[in-house]
Amino acid sequence: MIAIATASQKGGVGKTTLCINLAYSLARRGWTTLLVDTDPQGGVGLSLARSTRTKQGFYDFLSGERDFNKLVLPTRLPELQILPTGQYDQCARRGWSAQEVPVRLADLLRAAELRGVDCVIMDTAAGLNGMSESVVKACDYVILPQQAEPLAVRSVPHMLETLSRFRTEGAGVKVAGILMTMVLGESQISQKVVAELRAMLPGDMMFDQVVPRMNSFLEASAMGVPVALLKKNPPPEALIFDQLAAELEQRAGLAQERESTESHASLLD
Amino acid sequence: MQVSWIDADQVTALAEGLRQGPAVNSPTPAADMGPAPLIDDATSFVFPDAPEDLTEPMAEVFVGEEPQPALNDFRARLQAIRDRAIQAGLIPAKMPVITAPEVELPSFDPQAGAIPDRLAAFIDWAKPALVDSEIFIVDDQGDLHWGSPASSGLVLSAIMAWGAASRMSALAAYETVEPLRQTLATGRHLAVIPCATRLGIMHVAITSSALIPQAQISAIRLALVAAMDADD
Repeated sequence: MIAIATASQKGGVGKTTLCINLAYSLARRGWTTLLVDTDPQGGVGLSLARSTRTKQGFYDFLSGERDFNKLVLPTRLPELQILPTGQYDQCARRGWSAQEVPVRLADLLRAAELRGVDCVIMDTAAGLNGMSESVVKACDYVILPQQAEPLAVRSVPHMLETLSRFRTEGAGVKVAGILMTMVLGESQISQKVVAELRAMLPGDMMFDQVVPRMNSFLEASAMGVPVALLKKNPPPEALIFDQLAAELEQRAGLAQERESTESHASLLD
Repeated sequence: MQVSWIDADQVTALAEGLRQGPAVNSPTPAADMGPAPLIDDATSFVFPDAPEDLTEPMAEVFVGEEPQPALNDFRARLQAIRDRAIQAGLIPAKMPVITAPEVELPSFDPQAGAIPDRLAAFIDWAKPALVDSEIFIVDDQGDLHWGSPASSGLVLSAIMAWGAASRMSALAAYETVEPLRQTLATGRHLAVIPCATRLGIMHVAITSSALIPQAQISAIRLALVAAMDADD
């Protein structure tokens, strides 16, 4: 099992949209995927169903709920499960010890592994501090979505410095890649930002795929579905996340795991 | 004109740092220790006829006290991990082991008859010593000859897995295989007693709330062999 966090210094860069659609694509590709919402705003749950507001979830597990399995919500896609944010305010009132958080996060990942999960995707609140810092440190990989506009990418050095600090503090988390999001195809500035980052960073530090800014993502949120479920036949933009999932499989070594256990079957036999 | 205002050199250096392995502050990083020696000095063999000076340890001077591993610290941490695992329900809590009181079994007098009758006689003989126990008798092919099929699934699986493992052992070819004792997740104790009868290996499996004393296990083994070896 691998655990992947998404993280960014700035809010509103499309982390939650990325998490929902990436988790859906990974699940469609056969990986049992658990999407965990660690953002107190509960964006994942709010994007997918009204009822998640009242459900227990991540923060309830963090503050002592023992039965992990009862917190996990199944979805229409059997391979995709969701751990919503839970009752953050109630849990925050009771409080939890900062020292306990890494231990409980390790418990959570162990429980997910025992449940047969292949891939955990953890959505975080903006900023690389507090809970988000603990979540990123607990994961194997971090995806860094960056909004393709000048002000947003100016925080990239700061973010890389912070991740370097995590590593010196003993976290084994690796950068899966920087993902350019909300890219405006018709904006020269947006394109220039992408080009500048690509020129500066090593090739394997950035995902080849970018996520454009599109109305269909808004429509998908409004309807409470991943973009691939907007229509009976998934729209072209759904393939963006399939491509991203394929890149992630390569970067995180998921593909090798499967190739070592499954051989190619003939198309006809 | 650059729009991102990023210092390219700084970002490149940071990115390169992140691409390398974890930069954990470790007092003795493994990479600095060089390859492990082919022969461990601590366990290497010294030729008996080697000159005496070669048997002397390498000049190694410890200044002050030799560092000792903080065993108490390790134990405390392991105990804390175990406690957490028990609390989380990942492993069963350690329960006090209760050994069943030794009940002296009368000698078993095998009766001739059909196999079910002989097994019934064996059970009647064994039951008084096995309070709060369930008995299963299974042959080497996994067929259940005695016991409730509804509650035998786990026991049968354990017997078959253990039987397969013990057959792979060279000991099984010429020695009596020792009984298997296992604490189940429910806290009950499972004892599987292999018995070499003239009809092949038969297993007596007993699940009980208390540990069965070794003397009773030996008596049960002898009695089942006698029951199976009796005339039809």
